[in-house]
Amino acid sequence: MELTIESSPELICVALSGRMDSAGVDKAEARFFASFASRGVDTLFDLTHVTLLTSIGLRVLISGAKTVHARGARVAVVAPPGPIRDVLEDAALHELMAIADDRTAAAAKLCDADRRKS
Amino acid sequence: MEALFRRTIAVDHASLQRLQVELVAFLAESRLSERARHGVELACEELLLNAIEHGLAGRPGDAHRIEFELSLGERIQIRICDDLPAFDPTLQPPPARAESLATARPGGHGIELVRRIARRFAWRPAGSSGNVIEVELRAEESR
Repeated sequence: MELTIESSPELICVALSGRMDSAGVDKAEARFFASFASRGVDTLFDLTHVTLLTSIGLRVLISGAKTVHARGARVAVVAPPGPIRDVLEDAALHELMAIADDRTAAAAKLCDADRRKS
Repeated sequence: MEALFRRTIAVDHASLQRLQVELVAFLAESRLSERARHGVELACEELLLNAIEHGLAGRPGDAHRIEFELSLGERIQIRICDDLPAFDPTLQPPPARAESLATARPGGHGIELVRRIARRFAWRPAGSSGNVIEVELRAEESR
């Protein structure tokens, strides 16, 4: 699992790629959490280039989303239709957080959540 | 024509990772769709990790072995045999639906993910000590 972080004062985008399985997560879990955990900023997890997502990867993703949520920020996941999106839906993550096909749509879903709150 | 991938591994994470590298190479030569390949790799990791982490329950695993077999033909079939204490993963209940992120449990999704992609998911004991798990995947179907 590899990750690339793009950060602004309002939004962090963590782009993940490769295998989010037991071996992949071992290599990058600490860096994953370090990229956003202390900031309390809205965060996108972009799984567009993830090739395998297993329950170990899901655990990291859910833990990450819970961390963002606990700091009062919002979280959305980018996952185009395909096997990765299937796993997210099989685990009912779409009931807990916004999932969108691309970053623009994911960011819009965060804004929609803002409007609904105001 | 049927293609067969069969490996016998020790009950540890390093052996699982070596098997996964070989499985990826085998699947790359197959005509399976992206969704089907993902299903095979997902089931392999979940079921073998389950055996490694729960089958031994902290006991040393040096004396034990797991046999993994993938058969690709008209059907995608996985068969896992081990000589570990009997444990039926098909009886594991699905994780409880969370009301919100605050109450969501990060773990416990593995067996349910297998159940969701399987056309058939069966367990039986193997002799006096051991397990046989058979999974037929329905990953070729569109969703």
